[in-house]
Amino acid sequence: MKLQFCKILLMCLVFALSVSNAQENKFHINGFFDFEAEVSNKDAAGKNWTFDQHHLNIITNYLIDDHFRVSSEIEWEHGPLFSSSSSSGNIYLAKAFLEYKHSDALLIRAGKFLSPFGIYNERHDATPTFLSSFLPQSIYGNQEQSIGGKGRLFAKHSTGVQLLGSLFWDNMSLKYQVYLSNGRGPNENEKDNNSNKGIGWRIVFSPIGQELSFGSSFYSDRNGNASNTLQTTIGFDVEYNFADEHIEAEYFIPKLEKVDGQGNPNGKFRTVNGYYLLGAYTFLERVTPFIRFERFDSDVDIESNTETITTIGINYSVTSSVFLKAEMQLFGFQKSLLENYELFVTSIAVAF
Amino acid sequence: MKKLLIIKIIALMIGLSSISYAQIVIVVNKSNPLNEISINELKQIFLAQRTSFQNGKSIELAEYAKSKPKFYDQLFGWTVLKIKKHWMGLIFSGMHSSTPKEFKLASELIEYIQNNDGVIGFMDLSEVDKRVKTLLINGKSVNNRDYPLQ
Repeated sequence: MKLQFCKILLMCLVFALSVSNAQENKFHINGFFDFEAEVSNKDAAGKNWTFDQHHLNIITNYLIDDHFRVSSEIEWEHGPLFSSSSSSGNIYLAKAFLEYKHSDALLIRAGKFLSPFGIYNERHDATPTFLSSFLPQSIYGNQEQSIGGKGRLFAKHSTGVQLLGSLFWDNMSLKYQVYLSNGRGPNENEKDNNSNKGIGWRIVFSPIGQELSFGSSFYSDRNGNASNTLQTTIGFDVEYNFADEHIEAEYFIPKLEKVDGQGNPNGKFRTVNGYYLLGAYTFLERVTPFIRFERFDSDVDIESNTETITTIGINYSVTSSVFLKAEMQLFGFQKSLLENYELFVTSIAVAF
Repeated sequence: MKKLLIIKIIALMIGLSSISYAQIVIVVNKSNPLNEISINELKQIFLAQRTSFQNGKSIELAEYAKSKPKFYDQLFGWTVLKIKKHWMGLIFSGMHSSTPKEFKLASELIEYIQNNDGVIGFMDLSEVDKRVKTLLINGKSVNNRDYPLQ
């Protein structure tokens, strides 16, 4: 089935490429690729150098006219292979939506989109756009859900409708995004398995132009993958982006409803919080060393269970589209069962 | 030999100073009703925050390759690498469809603007001609001492 999907996809791409030549200004193809090598002292497996062809994403945009646009993204993750004898990696549709632009102040999207949450969720795996090889795990990592299993503490993707737009006053701007979706569930892109919808918003206020912005995000749903437990996450972020200096920070507080002995939501909540701070400085136009500190607390009512990650790295722009990265991540755990460890990652990320 | 070296250095300095004084103008199609733009609007347009003109027409961005480093430095204090990274973020997050169209020859950029009424671009004053309209910035013409892009 997946092999068939790949073949169809390839045919679509070939078709799209031929169309793109004919309609240069209407059809656009972009994408990114990355490749990693990593080693850690976490366990025996980690001590082996590992190569990972992590992402190959193809993004298409078709401008129907001045008002309508169709946007899509397909991801091949970890060099996927699907055959009758084995399977590995993932292929999936990261987004596919129709957008109607009434004006800059009001646009409407319908379809599957990456939930506007935090600085990075909409960019998700686009490693050429961020300094580190990995997104901050304190906010974007897969964490324990209400009934076990792991995932982001907000929906990475949403299928539904979204209103968005930007308002301007002199050098100030306010961008908003509000959305309604099926929420998370076993088949969330086709059917909502409960009567509660996923809702969310994100606003970004830039008071002095592009240099400084303050953002806030919200997401809430009854997570169909976790016994329809109510989960609500609010986040705050700030970015300072001057000529060579870059500072950013994010903080979020998810509240996850617990379940009783029968696995039903019991109205009690586990409160989580996480944050990170990142500072970077670019010199010689291309070389950007950075440092990031993250802290994650999986339950604020339990003491001594925080995790920290300190990342020290360097990002080098070989060209405007090719980036070499190297970083050391130091993992620290308060939990007595988990031992601290270090991870070294080097990667190449390409945008096209 | 020494004189030749001095002459070369002077010639280089003159060359550099003429580069640094090259003024950049904002150009649009002659049918565009816009005659003036504020520096803030210009920033918002070239960050792709504003994507429509006031008359509702969608904006298409065009860049003159030779003027890019100076234009983005003057407008944002950013390098070309930094602005490219900004565009990557816009495209990969689904906020925009394509990067600005880049032209290596001024004549090609002028011709493109002449044939497409939604285009706004930038280029060196010395290479602009009457086929396109030059916009005032903050009410100042390029000859004004307070013109923002110089």
